Amino acid sequence: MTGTDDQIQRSLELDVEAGELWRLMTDSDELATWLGDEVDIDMVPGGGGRVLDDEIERDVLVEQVVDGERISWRWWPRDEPGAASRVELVITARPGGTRLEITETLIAPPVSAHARLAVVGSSLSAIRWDLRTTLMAIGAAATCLAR
Amino acid sequence: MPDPLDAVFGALSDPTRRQVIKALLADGPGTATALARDLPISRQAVVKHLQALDAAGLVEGERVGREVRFRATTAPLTEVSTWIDSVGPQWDERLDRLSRRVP
Repeated sequence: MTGTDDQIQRSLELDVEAGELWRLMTDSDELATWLGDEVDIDMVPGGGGRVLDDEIERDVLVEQVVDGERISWRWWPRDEPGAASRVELVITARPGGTRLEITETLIAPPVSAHARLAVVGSSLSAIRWDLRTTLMAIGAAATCLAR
Repeated sequence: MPDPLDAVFGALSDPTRRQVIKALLADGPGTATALARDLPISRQAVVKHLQALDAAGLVEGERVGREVRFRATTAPLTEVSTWIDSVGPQWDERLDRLSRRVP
């Protein structure tokens, strides 16, 4: 179990071929057996979708699909569009099977209009970095106060 | 009704406002005048940013004489830590389901 303040990482070794794992990562019916209770994702770059998991409904926007290797999407709870995060799934072959690495990272709000206006003219990556350090500073202060 | 977390991120999407809140976190509570001394913006601009942060619940003002002293509040950010605390277990459950799905 690893990750930073705004990122979690998990990995899993599976005794399946990469092609089979890819199908489990990309086919909505297969995704509905493990990613959530109801899954409908058009797994192509720019594709949309939704995932219902544990009574949380998320909207999905697929960002990157590298056939057989890597998928990333952005998703956010439908009733909390400011809490968008990016999920990245990476498949690598290993002797006898595959390894799946998953990273979910909290990102600066991409989906709210006022936030979009606020970032016009600025570098999004710089904002994300500064936002991260600000959140870390606030998180550290919150931890101190909680003690 | 606007989403509270949306308001928090909206307020923090401005670099100057992040500077303001970082200054309040680093140096403790301060007035708009004091903040304007330390930051490269006018007192008037500081006041506007403090109003935006106040609306998002990220600062709290307390009247001290003729001025209002602001302190950074962390309550809205507990939602962020909730996000972080919930994401890990969610993936543990998903990967557990995936492991059981795979023969």
